Amino acid sequence: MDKGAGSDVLLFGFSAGDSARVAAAVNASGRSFSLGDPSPYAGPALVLAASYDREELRDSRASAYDDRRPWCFCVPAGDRELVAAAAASREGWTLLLPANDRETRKVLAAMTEAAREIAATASPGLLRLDSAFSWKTSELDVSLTGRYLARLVALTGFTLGRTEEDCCALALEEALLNAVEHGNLELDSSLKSADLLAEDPFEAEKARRLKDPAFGGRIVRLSLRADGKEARIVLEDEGRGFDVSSISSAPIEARITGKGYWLIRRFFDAADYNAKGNAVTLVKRGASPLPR
Amino acid sequence: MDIELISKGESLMIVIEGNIDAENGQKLASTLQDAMDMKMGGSVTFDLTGVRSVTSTGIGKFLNFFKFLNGEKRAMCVKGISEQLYRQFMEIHLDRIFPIER
Repeated sequence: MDKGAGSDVLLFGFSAGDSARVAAAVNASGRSFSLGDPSPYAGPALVLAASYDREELRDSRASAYDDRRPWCFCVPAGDRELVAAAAASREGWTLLLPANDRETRKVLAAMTEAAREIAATASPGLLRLDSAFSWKTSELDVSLTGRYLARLVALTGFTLGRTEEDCCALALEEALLNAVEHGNLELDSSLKSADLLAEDPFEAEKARRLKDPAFGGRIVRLSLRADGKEARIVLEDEGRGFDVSSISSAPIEARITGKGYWLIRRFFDAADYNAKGNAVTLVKRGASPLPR
Repeated sequence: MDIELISKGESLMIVIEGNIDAENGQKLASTLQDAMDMKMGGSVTFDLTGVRSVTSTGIGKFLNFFKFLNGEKRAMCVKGISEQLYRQFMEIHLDRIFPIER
């Protein structure tokens, strides 16, 4: 086991079997990888999962990597038990490898490129991030965008573990969803049905407005400034705004709606709307533990 | 997100793998609609072992489904949830509505 100099991505195998097959495919791809002790390595890691035991996966990962290093499990897509074990471990990301070695090489090569970009962004020299984003409402994927933004927050010096990063992503997803649904699409929560219906009136109207350029063509803007001590995110939509006094940070358990703002405040120290109600400023100071 | 419905007699197990987010809320609703259409009379257990986060939309779907089951005098419970998700559910007292097991 040796660590090659100048590796782009650390490749770490738990055991033989699938790891050996995939490692051979990786070597054939012409990339520089390492197998073995990852301790001196600070970059992203691909972990070849070859154990069906959830605890073993988790323990092995925990002994080799800290929470701030981007990494993911690599598991053969056709192996349902291994895929389930990796997902159930609730650690990192899971990359499904095609059964075919040629396809595996292509996936790993693409993953290497992605990991290299993450490594560049995750450079220890990154002290401050000051970025602005804008999306057309009809093309904004709030879930993926929330995860991407949470990664950026984590990479700028916040000591977010995987759980906290999940919590951050969830809060950002809820804020983006509010900007889309109640902001730019001007949808009212009263449309949400109290029953599970095949034709949900809220979702039907949402789909209609997303296709309407008068609504779907509106822009969602976001600015993110983070320096490790504070992350400040301003999210603005082009809707008519809403009555900010109606916000409740303490949701009623049995009510179907009204839990988005609570999920935002679970992570952020402050979430303040402007008077019009079409822009929210989210602030996270330092790294504080999640509520217990 | 993958959802699997596993029937055992009159009882139903719903196994969810992956995060329940805003983009797949409709898939969850559609699957729960399928579960309702199965016309079973027993309890329903959600296995969330493979779930790391649930959005407000997802919580709403669970509550909607509970309301349907409760109307039919059927029990619902959630099991296998992570520590983080457990705390999230406890904060809004979902355990007062249906049993939640880690």
